[in-house]
Amino acid sequence: MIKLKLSLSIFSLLSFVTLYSQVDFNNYTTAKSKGKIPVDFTKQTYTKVQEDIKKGKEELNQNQERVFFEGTNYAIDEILHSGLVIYGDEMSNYISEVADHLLKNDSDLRSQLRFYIIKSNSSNAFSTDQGIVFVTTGLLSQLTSEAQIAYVLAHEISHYTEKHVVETFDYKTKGYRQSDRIASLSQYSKEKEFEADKLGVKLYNAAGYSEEEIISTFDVLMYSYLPFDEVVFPISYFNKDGFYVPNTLFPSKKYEIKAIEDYDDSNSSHPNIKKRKEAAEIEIGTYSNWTDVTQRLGEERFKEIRNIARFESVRNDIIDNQYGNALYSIFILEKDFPNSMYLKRMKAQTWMNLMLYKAENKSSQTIQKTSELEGESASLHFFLKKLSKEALISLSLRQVYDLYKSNQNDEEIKAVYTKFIKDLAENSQFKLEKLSKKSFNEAAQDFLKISKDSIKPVEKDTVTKTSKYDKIKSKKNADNPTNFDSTKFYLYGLNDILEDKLFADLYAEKKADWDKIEKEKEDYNALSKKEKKAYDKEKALNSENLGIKELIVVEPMVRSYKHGEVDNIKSEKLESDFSEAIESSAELAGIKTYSVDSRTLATKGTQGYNERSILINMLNQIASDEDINIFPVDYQLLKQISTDYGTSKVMFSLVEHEYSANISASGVLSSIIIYPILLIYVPVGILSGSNTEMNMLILDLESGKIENGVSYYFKDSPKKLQLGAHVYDILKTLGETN
Amino acid sequence: MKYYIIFIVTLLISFSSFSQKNNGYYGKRFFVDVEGLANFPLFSNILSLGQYGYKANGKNFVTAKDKFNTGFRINAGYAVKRNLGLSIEYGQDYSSVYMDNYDQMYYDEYNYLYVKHEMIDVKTTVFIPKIEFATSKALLPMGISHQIGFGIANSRVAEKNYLYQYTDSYYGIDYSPTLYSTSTTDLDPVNFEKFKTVKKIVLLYALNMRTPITKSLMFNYGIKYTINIGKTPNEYYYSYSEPKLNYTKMVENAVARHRGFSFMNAFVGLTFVF
Repeated sequence: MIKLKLSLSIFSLLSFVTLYSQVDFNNYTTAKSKGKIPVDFTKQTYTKVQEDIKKGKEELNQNQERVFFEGTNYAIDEILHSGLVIYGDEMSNYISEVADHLLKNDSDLRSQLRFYIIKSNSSNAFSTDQGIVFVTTGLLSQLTSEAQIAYVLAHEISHYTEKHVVETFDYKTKGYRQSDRIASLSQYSKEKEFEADKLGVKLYNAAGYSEEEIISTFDVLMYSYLPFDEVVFPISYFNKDGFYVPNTLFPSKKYEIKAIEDYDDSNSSHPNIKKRKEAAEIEIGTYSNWTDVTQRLGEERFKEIRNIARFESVRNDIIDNQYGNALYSIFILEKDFPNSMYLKRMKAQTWMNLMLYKAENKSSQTIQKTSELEGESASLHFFLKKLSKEALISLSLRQVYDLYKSNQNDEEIKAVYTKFIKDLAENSQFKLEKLSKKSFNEAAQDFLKISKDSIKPVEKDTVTKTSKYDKIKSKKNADNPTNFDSTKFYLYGLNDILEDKLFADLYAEKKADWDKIEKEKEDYNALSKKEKKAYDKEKALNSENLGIKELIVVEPMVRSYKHGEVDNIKSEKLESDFSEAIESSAELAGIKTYSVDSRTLATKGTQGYNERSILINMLNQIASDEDINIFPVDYQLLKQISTDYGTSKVMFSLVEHEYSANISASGVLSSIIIYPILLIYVPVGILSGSNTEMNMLILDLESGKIENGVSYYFKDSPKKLQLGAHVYDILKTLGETN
Repeated sequence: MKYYIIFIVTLLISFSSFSQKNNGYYGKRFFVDVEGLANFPLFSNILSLGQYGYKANGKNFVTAKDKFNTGFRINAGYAVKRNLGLSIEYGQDYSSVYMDNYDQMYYDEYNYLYVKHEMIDVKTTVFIPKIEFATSKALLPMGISHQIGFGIANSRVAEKNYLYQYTDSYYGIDYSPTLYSTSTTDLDPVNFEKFKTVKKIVLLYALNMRTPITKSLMFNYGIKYTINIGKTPNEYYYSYSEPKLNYTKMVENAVARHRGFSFMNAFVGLTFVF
């Protein structure tokens, strides 16, 4: 009996855990896909297109069917394989459960739909003709109730049931622009939006949610470009332990929120919010059986899902280099999660990256433009914008150092700190000796003290005994009370760091390394042109030999163009060929490869999918600025991949090909006139029309550093053996040791 | 989706140089091309330029055209650098060449000749050291390459009995034409001096494409352009002081002209890489 009770208790506990397990935000790591990998992610796009064509679509003719299925499937798969989509996680499960409830009376429709999350800070949701509904973390982070999610889903399901994608698809442009799949996939006409709003209300009403949440959903959408909360950023936020930031660096005024409901929507695909609200209210009025239910799955669970989305928004901002937004989100979240290591790690990374961008005069990319400042977050953006380089460096040092000191056992923060000190040592704007050994308060008090004594006459001996150079040094010395300047607040309050021997040693070590590099540069500049050439050659040869014996190979990307447009089917075929070529050439070059490839996901499953996503996210982050060596946001996950595979080197590759015979009408005409040039011009034009560019990038997972990059351009077709020969050439060199 | 765009940007901006080392085509740098080549003297036939030839039909001449010429090449080379190779080309061409046919060729104030000669079969042996080059990121011997070479082309008329007609005339009096059929080795006694081989320096440019079939074999095709370097002899083949027709000069001129009209050859073959 006791055994039975115990078994039942364990069963109940397990059931509860399966249904809803609470997330530990203090030890949060980015959301990953879970469970069995859906077929959407494993089936090849070409197969999907063929299957869809076989099924057919009544409203389309044969040619339209081909264009439609090819256009939509390739666009959707590009999103599915972008590294941003997750399935089977808490957020996906949650929206699936909300959908279950919405469609509880239509099991057939429910069985046609799949719900996935996109890690993106754009607030969006969209459905596809294939039955996939995507919801972004940006949207989830903004919503205030489960009912709002339900209404958004009801709206998207209505787009699906009414076949709006088929009706809106542009057969001339094949539906979607290459540059922004998400935006393109979520654009319908205003009529279609009104129709989806209307049908969404019906579905939503049938599910028994509160009418009030419909109108508030439109408010959420209208203000979704703002951070997920409006909280005053205190001007004293950075004032701590002798570090002081003047109030003058913060704005004296409030930045109003500019969004209005009745904006001009003549150039917009969606009707403006006012019109949508009005139409929705009319529709709401046609039903009388409204309830006041806003949360069916529980408020606690809703808030947890929203918090996951909010935690993800910080990471998204870091990947997108939106450090002002990241800091504001961290500031909001750390009120509820003061002990979250995740937030601390993200904070340390953000400050380090801010410093790096400022050093390269690129910080304007990382914070909002003055014209975009709105709401409470404007205060922080304004402050970051106003900081001088020196001030930002000091503030970053203060922040990163404090995070490291209070979390010394955290491997990631330690790695950030070490890289930060290295970057600091390499920053010519930063001079350790310029910093004061006093806190701001001490320096200010000393200044006030000598100000009171300033009426005393200067002693004659002081004037005569001090040399000119000592006087100059004294004027530059921040510790000299007479030099105190509150606008140079960044020189003070770092005294504890200066006294830290471990900091000093690490800084000295990194500085010595940097000085050595600088010395090498100076020596190089002193070389003659011929010597420089020989040196460059030698260095290039040596730097290419990385002694790589094992390599993680992320699936290559191939773009084959036909008349200026991507030929998706040919590209997919070439991708497969290129993958095989890499594998075969690596083996011949003596390098063991581990393939992380969407084509092998059926066998590798969710773990393979997550690894691939993390690696692609890393590439996205690192590739965002070629001048800045960014710390990889998923440091721990990348380290885990590195440990699992036994190598930290990962290769990404891209091939682009286009055939275009180099023959022009004017060329032919000229050649005919100057016979026999034509006999050379035409064959050369035909034979040299194939243009292939192959790019390969070797990254180090742990440092995020680009180890080597290759850009090949050759006039040959991208067949398996040709590509393989080039890959062999590269890998052979990389595998050698100096 | 962003993946694609930024990947290009990063790579294009940051990295353009890599590996000046030459690891060869799958580690292989030696290659041998075996090619068959052909030309269709379409232009000379279409444009004609007054050219036509004769073939023998028993003891009669029938007009004929040069329709198709063939040859072969064996080319052995080594990829010195990724985009630079050295090679030596050996080969033979087999051509039907128009000879000059003169209705009235004065060789002095009073005397002139009628000459009509069957087209001759010429075998030309070529030996050309070449340099191959390609774009900086190429991987010779694979892919498209440009080849330039200077070499020797040695033409020899095939030994067979050619039909020709020879009439030595005096102004105002036409002698009856006489038909001869003789091989190049016994052109006398009708005022033809013996034939010697025609050696020429030639300049070659070839556009060559080698497309891999396996890791040691490639399909090879392209176009070769060959021109003579040096003077072509004038057309005065006859000297009264030494009353012999200079057959070598006639052949040399005919071969040079033939090469001019058929300077472009298409070729196709296999490349063995090792």
